[in-house]
Amino acid sequence: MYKIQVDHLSKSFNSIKKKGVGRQVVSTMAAIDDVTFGVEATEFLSIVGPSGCGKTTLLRMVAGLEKPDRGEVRIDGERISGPSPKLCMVFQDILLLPWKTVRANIELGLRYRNHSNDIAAAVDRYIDLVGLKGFESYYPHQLSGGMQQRVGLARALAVEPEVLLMDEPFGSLDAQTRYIMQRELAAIHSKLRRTIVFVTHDLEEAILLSDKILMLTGRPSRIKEMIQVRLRRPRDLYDVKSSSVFAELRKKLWNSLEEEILKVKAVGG
Amino acid sequence: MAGMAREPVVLYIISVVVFLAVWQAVSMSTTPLFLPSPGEVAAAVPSLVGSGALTDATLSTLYVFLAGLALGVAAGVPLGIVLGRFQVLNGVTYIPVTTFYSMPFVALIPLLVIWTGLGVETKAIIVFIASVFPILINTQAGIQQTNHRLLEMATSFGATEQQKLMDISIPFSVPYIMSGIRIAVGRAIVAAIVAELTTSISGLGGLLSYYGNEFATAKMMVPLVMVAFISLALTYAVKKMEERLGRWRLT
Ligand SMILES: Nc1ncnc2c1ncn2[C@@H]1O[C@H](COP(=O)(O)OP(=O)(O)O)[C@@H](O)[C@H]1O
Ligand SMILES: [Mg+2]
Repeated sequence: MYKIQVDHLSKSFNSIKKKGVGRQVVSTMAAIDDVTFGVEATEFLSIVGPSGCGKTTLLRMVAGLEKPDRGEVRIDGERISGPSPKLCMVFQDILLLPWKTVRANIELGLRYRNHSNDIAAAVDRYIDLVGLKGFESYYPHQLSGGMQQRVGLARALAVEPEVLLMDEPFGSLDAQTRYIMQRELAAIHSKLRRTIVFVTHDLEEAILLSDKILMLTGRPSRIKEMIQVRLRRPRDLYDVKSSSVFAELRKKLWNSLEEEILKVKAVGG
Repeated sequence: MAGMAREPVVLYIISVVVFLAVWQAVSMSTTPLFLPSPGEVAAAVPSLVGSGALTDATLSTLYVFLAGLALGVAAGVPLGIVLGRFQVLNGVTYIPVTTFYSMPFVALIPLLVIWTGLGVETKAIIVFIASVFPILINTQAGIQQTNHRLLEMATSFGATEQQKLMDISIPFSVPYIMSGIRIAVGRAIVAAIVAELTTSISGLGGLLSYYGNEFATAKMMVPLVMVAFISLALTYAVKKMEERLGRWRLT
C-alpha cells in the first residue's frame, strides 16, 4: 500500500471576468485533471511543471486544505477530508504570524499538535538546524525573505510529521543557503525516514533530492511523466552534479518541461 | 528595525506660540467680554484653582469620561469578537448596530434622563453609548477581515477554533480595535461635556455653562482650555498605544 495515494484527482476554479458595469461572466478553469499517483513510505517525490499549472493546488488537496471536485487522496489507506495530523505543510508564501517572534512562530505547530515532549528543546533543535540561532526573539518583518522561509521550514520540521509537503520552500533563498538547506533536507529525509512531497521549479534541485519526479503538463494539468531518479543514496550533492546520470536526467527533464512551456505559449495561456 | 518617527517638538512649540500670538492680537481688537486675552484667562486660573472648582470639575468630567469609555471597551471588544466570529449574528445585528452608531447620541439624552434620572450614572451611560459602537464595529471588522491564509495555516497544523481566535484573529484585530478606541475617545469626550451641559450641571461642562451664563468670559475660558488639554493628552496617549501595539506592522 502506498503511503500517499492520489486517485483520479480533478479540480477546477470559477473565474469571474468583469464585462462592463455590473455584468460578469463566470467561466470554469480546470487546474488539475484526473491525476493519479502513489508515494511510498519514506519516498521523496518532487513535483515539477510549468508555473501556474496547478502544483500548489495539487499539494493543497493532498494536505486536505482544498476539496477536490472528483477523486480522492488517501494517507495510509484513509481518505483525507481535512487537515491530518500525519502531515505538515511548508507554504510557498510562508505564512508566519507577524506579531509573534521567530521562536513563538516555530512553537505554533508543536503547540497545536499537542506534542507532549519538551517543546522548548525541540524548538531549539530546529532553530539551530535552519541556522537561526540568535534570531529567536526577532519578528518576521526584521528578517530577510530567506530567513523567513527558514522559520516556516523549522515550524513544519519541528512537528516531525510522517509526511512533509513542501511548496517551493527554497524559492527565495540565496544560492549558499539553498545548498545548505538542500543538504539538510536530504539528511533529515534519510535520518528520520519521512515521506516528502516537494514542489519546485528548480529541476536540478528535484534531481538532487528525489527518488521520483512527477512532471505535470500545462493547464489543465495532467501527469506528463513519472521519472525515477536512479542515483544511489546517500548522495553527495556536489559530486552528483558532475555525474553523467545527473546530466542526462537534467536534459530529459528540461526538454519535457520546455515542450509544456511552449505549448502554453502557443495557446496564449 | 524601523524606529519610531521623532516628534518635531520645535515645530509644536512654534505652532502654540503662533496660536497664542494670534489669540492675543484678536483679543486686543475687541472687548474682554467677547474674547479675553490669553493673559486675562491665565489671571482667572488662580481663583478657580483656589476654590477647588477647577479640580473638582476636572475630576468629575474625567470620571464620567473614563467610566463610560471603560464600559464601552469592556462591552464593545467582546461583542465585536462574537459578532465578527458568527456570520449569522452579523445579519441580525447589522441594522440596529449601524443605526445606533450613525444616529446622534444627543437625541437619546431626554429618554435616558427619563429612564435613569440626572445622576452621574446617566452621564456615564451617555458616554458609553457614544463610545461602544465604534469599538464594536471596528473589532468586528478586524475579526472578519483576518487574513484567511493565516487561519488556514493554523488549521493545517491542527489548531482548534479557540486557538485560531486567540492566536490569529484577535491579534490581527488589535490595530482595528485601537482605531475604534481612537474614534471612541473623541466621541466620549464630546459626550461627557454634552451630558454635563444637558442633564444636571456638573464637571467642566457645568463650569462652562455657569460662567457662560454669568458672562464671565475669562473664567469660562479656563475649563475650555482644560477640555482642550485633556483631548490633546488623550489623542496623544491613544496614538502612542497604537504605535506600541502595532509595531509588528512596520515593514
Ligand atoms: N482559489 C483559487 N481561485 C481561483 N483560481 C485559482 C485558485 N487557486 C489557484 N487558482 C488558479 O489555478 C491555477 C493553478 O494555480 P497554482 O496551483 O497556484 O499553480 P502553481 O503552484 O503550479 O504555480 C492558476 O491559474 C491559478 O490562478
Ligand atoms: Mg505554486
